[in-house]
Amino acid sequence: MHAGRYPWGDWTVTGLELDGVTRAFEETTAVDDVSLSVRDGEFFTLVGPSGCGKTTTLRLIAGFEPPDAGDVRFGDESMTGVPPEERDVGIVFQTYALFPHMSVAENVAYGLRFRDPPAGQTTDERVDELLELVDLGGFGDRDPGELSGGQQQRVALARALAPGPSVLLLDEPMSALDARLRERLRVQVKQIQSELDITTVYVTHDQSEALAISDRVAVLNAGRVEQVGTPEAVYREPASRFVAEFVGDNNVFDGALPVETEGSSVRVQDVDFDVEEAIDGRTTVCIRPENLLFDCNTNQFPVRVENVEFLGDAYRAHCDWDGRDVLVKTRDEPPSGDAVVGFDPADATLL
Amino acid sequence: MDRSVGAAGGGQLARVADRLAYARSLLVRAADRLALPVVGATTLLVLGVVFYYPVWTVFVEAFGNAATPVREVLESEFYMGAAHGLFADPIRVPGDVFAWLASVRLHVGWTGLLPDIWVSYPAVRKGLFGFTAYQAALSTVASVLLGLPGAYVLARFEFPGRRTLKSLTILPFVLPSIMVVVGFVATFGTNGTLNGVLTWLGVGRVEWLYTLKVVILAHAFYNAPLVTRMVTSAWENVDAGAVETARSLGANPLRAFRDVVAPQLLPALAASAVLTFIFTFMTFPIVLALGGLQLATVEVWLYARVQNLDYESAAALAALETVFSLALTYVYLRYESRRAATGTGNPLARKRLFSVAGDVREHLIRTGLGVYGVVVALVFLAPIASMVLASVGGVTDPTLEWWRFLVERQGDSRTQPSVAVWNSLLFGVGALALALPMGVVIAAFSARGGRGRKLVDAVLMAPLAVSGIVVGFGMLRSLVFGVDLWGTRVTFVGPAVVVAAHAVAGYPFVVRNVAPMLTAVDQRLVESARALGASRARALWDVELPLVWPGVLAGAAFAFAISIGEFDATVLLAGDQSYTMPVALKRYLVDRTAGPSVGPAAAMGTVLLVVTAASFVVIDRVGGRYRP
Repeated sequence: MHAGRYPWGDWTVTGLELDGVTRAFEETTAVDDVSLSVRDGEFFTLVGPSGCGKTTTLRLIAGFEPPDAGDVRFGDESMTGVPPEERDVGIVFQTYALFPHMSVAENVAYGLRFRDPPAGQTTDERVDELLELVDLGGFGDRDPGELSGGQQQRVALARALAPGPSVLLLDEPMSALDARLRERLRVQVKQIQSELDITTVYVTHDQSEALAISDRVAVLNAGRVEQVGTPEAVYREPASRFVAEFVGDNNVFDGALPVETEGSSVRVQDVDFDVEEAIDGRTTVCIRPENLLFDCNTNQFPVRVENVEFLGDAYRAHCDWDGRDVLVKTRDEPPSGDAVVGFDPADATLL
Repeated sequence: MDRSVGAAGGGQLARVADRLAYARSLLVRAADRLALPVVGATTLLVLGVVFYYPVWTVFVEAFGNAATPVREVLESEFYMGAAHGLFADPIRVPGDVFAWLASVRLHVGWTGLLPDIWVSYPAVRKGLFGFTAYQAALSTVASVLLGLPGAYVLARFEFPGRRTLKSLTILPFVLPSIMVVVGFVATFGTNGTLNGVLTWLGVGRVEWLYTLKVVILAHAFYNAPLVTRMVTSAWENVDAGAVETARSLGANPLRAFRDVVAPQLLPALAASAVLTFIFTFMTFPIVLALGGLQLATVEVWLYARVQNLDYESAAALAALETVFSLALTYVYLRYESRRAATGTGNPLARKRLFSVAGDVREHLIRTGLGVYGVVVALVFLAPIASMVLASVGGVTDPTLEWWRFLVERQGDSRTQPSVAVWNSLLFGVGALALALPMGVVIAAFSARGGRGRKLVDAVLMAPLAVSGIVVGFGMLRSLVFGVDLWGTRVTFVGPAVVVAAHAVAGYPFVVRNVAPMLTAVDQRLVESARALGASRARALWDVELPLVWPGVLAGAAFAFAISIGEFDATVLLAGDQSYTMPVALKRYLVDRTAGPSVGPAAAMGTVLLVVTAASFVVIDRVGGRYRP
């Protein structure tokens, strides 16, 4: 338990726990024995491809669906059998779901029909405070239909925060916006979240977004948790092939243990790679494209550069190594045709 | 988790205030949680008491005593015609059929150059049920013939007033059938407008009332718009791209129509035909007034049996008719589920009706449609106009006599016009107050789905498939005569039962107007409200209902109009003080309690027309898309 830094003071904010939660639908198991622990005030992201169960997990936390097995706990209290209106959550949907027949101010004030505003504040004052927080001061009288996508999203955020919930849930709130707006808004959301110190669970399919704003990330695949960790840990030390390939670009080579050498190298396609990690029987080598260098002396192998994309601040070269696809990311223009790339043993990850 | 604003300060008063506030919030939360289940349970209870229980008593009476009443009906030649043999003496049936087939004769004669061929066969006794089915079949054919060209015009042509005309196709649902009857009597009666025109032309009078022709025409008046409406809707759902593809693959226009368009129209046509058959099989006021006992159908005979206090036969007839109509409704529902649910974004283009462009074929079609238009105008406008004319005593000698009649007290007559009008309005409001919440709750449940939804849907929509006269009869026998409950006899007072019967007739229409709109509401809105603290009931009230209020209003107008025009159940249940305008109409028209003229009925019918037209306007302007 820890007191949040809401302007009016003493507000208990609790952590969130999922314990062996399972939820199945007719043909598929959407969430399969998922256990997660979200700390107080943490910005926790569920990321994964479509259909991996992240939205279902969020709905289980909110109480829109009951788990078939397992338990959802807010702090120490189990939420089994507790309907959504009695859980202390605020939710922002991908489509914002603003009430079309109410003004912006009425939308934000809706939750305050069921909970009192914090001591000393009237509903109107609270609404104004939240609209200021999301940079929409003075928009109270407008209709949701008059607002742009980004403005609607901010109203939805203000509405979810107005009653002062313990947990904030966001279900792909940026998906409907264009890339620029998305980047600006996610920074704003992160700022508001850390200012209010509210436990937040964020769902997205965009792994770069997840890495950018989260305190910790859980990578989901087919209803199961593949890895939980800080963005750096998930990026640099993927726990599984799926995570290695889903989070960022990666080169994944399946190799074998050569018989002759002592156990500090992995043979991939007639080339022995020296690696720094202890091998422990792991024979799959992952190297991030930015760690492959055209002018490196160690762990070299020949490639043919086939296609080069200019990304503005970098180049992405699609290469071929005897039939294998290799992706190389460089700051300066890569050579064309046949070339040699290499990497530092410290940069390789083994799976 | 506790969100309450803690104790503000010290002092007894503050603590008491806190306790009160806490108690109040508990009550509010309990009310919130219980609201929907309570209303749902009440709806089911009302439905059970007011619909299922009476219908069940009818079946009990019909099948009681070793099913004697039913067997008597099935074995009677009067009721079943030639088919009674199947029940009375099944062994003889094959022999009888062979004998009949053997006496069929084919005659060939020569008159002039061409051969004359005809078939003669011994007459087959239809019986009551057979005749009812026969007239229903004829009415269905007539309705289809009258309605189908209308669908063609509405779907494929553009002309001023097209949308208004399309909305008008809903009118028959809303017009009271007994009022339509008055119109027909005013048109085809001995002193009606038709005879007036014929006399003026010097042709002489016709006696068309009390003939099968007029009954079928009245049925067509009622049901042709239904056919038009359903087929038009299907036609407008045909994707123009499909037709164009067929054309590009080599099909000529006629072939493209036959291969691409017609198959999509057929389900709607079949569905509307089945519905028309069901409605005309269960016809009551039209045959009662325009056919009399010679052309009696099952329901008219049922009514006669009840008047004669022969409740057993009435029960048997009611039960058999209900079985038949339920079976047919099941067939219809199977068809309905196969129709396209959503519209296409690319409907067939419409041609301008009143242009001079086009080839000979198109001009011929336009002329044909013109003739059709004249026929339609006559069929639909004549009865209404005749009725309004008759209410002022005719064109030649207008008088306000009949309108005065409506307003004045009529001595000792047991049918006071002002009482009828007042009762109708009162019952209408009462039925509305009952049907609206029932319908909204059922619509909410039906729109959200859940387990066993199909079964629940069927159970809740059953009143649509059971005739009003069966329900009225059941109510009479069970609720009005009294129910023995734990030793005491509980009787329900007449007006209450009438209101209940009206509500039962009306709530399915509330559901049909509200449910589609509820389905269209984004579920995320409801979930957002719930996450913010609203219970399911509060979310319905705060978010969903405000968004579907046009549907609710249209449903309300429907329920009110249905109540105003309800006849079948009311005529059985109306007591000395609880008669309505339709019942008064029947007494003036059929029983002639106000004299031989059609004037009194015409005046009251015109009042009914105004009220239902007003409801129609509300339904049309406010209701959004209506799905029949």
